[in-house]
Amino acid sequence: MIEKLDEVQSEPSVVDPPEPDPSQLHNLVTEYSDAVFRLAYSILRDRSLAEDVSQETMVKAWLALPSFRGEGSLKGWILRIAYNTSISTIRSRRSIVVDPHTMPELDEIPELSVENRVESKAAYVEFLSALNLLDDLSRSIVVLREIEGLSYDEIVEILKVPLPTVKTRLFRARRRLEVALKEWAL
Amino acid sequence: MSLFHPKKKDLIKWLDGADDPKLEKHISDCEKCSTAMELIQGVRVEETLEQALTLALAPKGDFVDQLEGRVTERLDSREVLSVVSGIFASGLETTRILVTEE
Repeated sequence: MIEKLDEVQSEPSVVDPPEPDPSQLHNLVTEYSDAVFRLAYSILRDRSLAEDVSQETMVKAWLALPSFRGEGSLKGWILRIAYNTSISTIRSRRSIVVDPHTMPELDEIPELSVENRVESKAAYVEFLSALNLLDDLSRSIVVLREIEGLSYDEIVEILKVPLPTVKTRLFRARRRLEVALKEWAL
Repeated sequence: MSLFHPKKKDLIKWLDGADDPKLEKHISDCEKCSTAMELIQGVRVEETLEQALTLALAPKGDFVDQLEGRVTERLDSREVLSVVSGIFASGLETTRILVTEE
C-alpha cells in the first residue's frame, strides 16, 4: 500500500486510466472533500492553497483508485494523499519563502450566526491564535482525531509517525486549545 | 517504564508545558496513563473542540460544487491529452506543452 501511495506522489501513470464515471466521482468528492480541505488548511494555513491541494488530491485519488486494495479505510487512504500533497506544497513554498514568520496564517473568519457573532468573535480569534501557534504535525493530529474521528492507528498510518508521538502531541495540543475553548463555551 | 504512575497534578503540569522527558516517556508507553489523560481532557473539551475546529477549518459554502467542476475539467483534459500523446507517442507533459504552446 505504501508503494502505491508513493506512486501517487508523482504524476500518476496514464497507461490505463479508469473510465470516468461521473456518479462515482461525484460521490468521492462529496464524501471526502471537506475532510481533505480541513487537513490541507490545517497544514498550509492558506485557504487558496488548501483548495488547490484538495483539487490535486481528488485528481490523484481518482486516478489511483483502481490500485486501492481496501486494506485500510478509503478515507484514511485519501487523507494520506492529502497529507503528502500538502507537505510537498509547503516544502516547495519554503524553498521560496525562507522566513517562517512570513508563512500565511489562518486568514479568514467564517460567518457566525448573527446572535453569536459579537459574543463569540473575541473567543474565536483567541482560539484561532492558539490553533495557529501549534506546530504543523500537532495541528494535523488534532484535526484527524477530533474532527475526522480517526483511530490512533489510522493517524500513525497517515502521518507515518510513531504512536507515542501521536499521543503526546495530541494531549498537549488539546491542553493549549482548552484555554481558548473555555471562553468559547461560555 | 516506571512501576509507579505519575500523580494527576504532575500529568496536568506536563500538559501545561512542563519539560519532563521521563514523565513524557512514561505517558507514551503506559496505557493506563494514556487513558487517564484522555479522561482528564476528554470530558471537558471534546465536543467544544470539535465544534470550534470544524468552524475554523470550514471550506467556503460552494466549495464542493466548485471542486467537482474543476476536478472533472482536469480529468477530461487529461483524457484528451492521453489520446494525443498516444498518437504521437510522446509523454503526457511533453504533449501538454506542445498542445498549449502558442
